[in-house]
Amino acid sequence: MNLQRILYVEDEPDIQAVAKLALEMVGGYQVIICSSGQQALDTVGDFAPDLILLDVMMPGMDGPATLQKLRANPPTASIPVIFLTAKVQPNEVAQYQALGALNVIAKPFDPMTLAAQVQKIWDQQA
Amino acid sequence: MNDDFAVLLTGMRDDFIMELPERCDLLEEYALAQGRAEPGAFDDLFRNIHSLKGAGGTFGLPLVTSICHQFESFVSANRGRFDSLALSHALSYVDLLHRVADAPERDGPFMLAIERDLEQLRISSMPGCASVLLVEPSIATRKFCQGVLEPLSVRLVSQDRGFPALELLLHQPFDLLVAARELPDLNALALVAALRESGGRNKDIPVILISSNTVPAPTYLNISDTIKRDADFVSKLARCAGDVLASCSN
Repeated sequence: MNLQRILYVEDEPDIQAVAKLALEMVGGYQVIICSSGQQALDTVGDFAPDLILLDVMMPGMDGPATLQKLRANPPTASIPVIFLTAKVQPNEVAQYQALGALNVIAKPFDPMTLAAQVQKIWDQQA
Repeated sequence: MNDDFAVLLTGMRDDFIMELPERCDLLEEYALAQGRAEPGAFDDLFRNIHSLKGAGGTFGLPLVTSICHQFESFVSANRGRFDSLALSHALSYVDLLHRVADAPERDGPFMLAIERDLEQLRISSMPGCASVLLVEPSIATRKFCQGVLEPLSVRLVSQDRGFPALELLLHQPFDLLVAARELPDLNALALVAALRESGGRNKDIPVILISSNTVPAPTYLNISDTIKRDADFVSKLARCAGDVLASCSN
C-alpha cells in the first residue's frame, strides 16, 4: 500500500506549519494537522489516514495516551503510528515501540529530510 | 519542489527570528510571575520554553534549542523554590535568547560568545549537576553503567552508537564522556578524535573508555582512563567516574 494520507498531531504552531509544508511539498502526501490528542481522535475517523505522526509531549492528552485510545478503538486500532520526540535514548525508543509505535523520529527534525524519514519507516514496515 | 520549499523555509525562519524578541518578552513575564508564585506561572513558563526549544531546532537554530533545553532543566529543578536568585538566573537565560535574536549573524564569534556564556550560566545556575554522556551498545552493560553513574547525581544521557553520540557532543554541554571502545558506525577512538578536533565547547572534556582491548589509546586523544571489562569493571567505573567528576568540579 502506498503512503498517501498522514495525520500529524502536534501542539506547537511553528512545527505544525513546517511539518505540513515539508510533508506536502517534499513528500507529496496529503496532510491534516491536529493540535491535540483529542482533536486527533475526533478527526481520525473522517480523514482515515494511512499513518499518524504523533508528538509525545503535548498538554492534556500526550502522545502515548493518544496512541492508547487509538488502539482501544477497533476502526483506528491498526493505523500505524510514528512518535516524534526529543527523547530518543535507546531505552526510550524501545519503550515507545513497546507501546505499539512503528518507530520514533527525533525532534528537532530536519524539515528537508522529514518526508524521506517517514517514507523509510513506512517502507520498512510494508 | 524542494527548492521552493527551501525558499519558504528560509522565509519562515526569518519570521521566527524576527518574532523571537517578542517571545523572549513573554518568557520574561512568565518568569516574573513565577517569581511572584502566581498560580499557573510554572506551566506557562515551561510550556513556552518547550515550545521555543522545538521551534528553534526545527528552524535550524541549535543555539536556541540548547539555551531552552538548559532553561527547561533549570526551571524544572527549581519548581516550588523560585527565589530571587532563581529568578535572576531565569532572566539570564532570557537575555541569552535576546542576544541570539539580536546577533548580526547566525554563526561565528557572536554565537561562540553566547555558547560560552550559556556554559557559565549552567555552572552558576545548576551547580553540582554534571552532565555525562554514556555511549555503550550493549543494553546489559549500559544498565550496569547507568546504575553506577546515576547515584553520582549527574544528568546522564545514553547512546548506543557513535555518530548520534558525536552529534550530541557537538550540540549539548557535557562534563564527561564514558564510551565503549567498539561502537557501531564510529568507534570511540574516532569519536574522541573528532571531538578533540571539533573546537566546540566539549573538546577538552575527560573521556573514560570501556574496553576488553588492552592496547593503549593514542596519547594525543588524552583519554583519562581505560577500564577493562572484567569482574571489577563496575566498581572501577564508579571510582574512576567519581574521581574525574570531582576533579572537574574543583
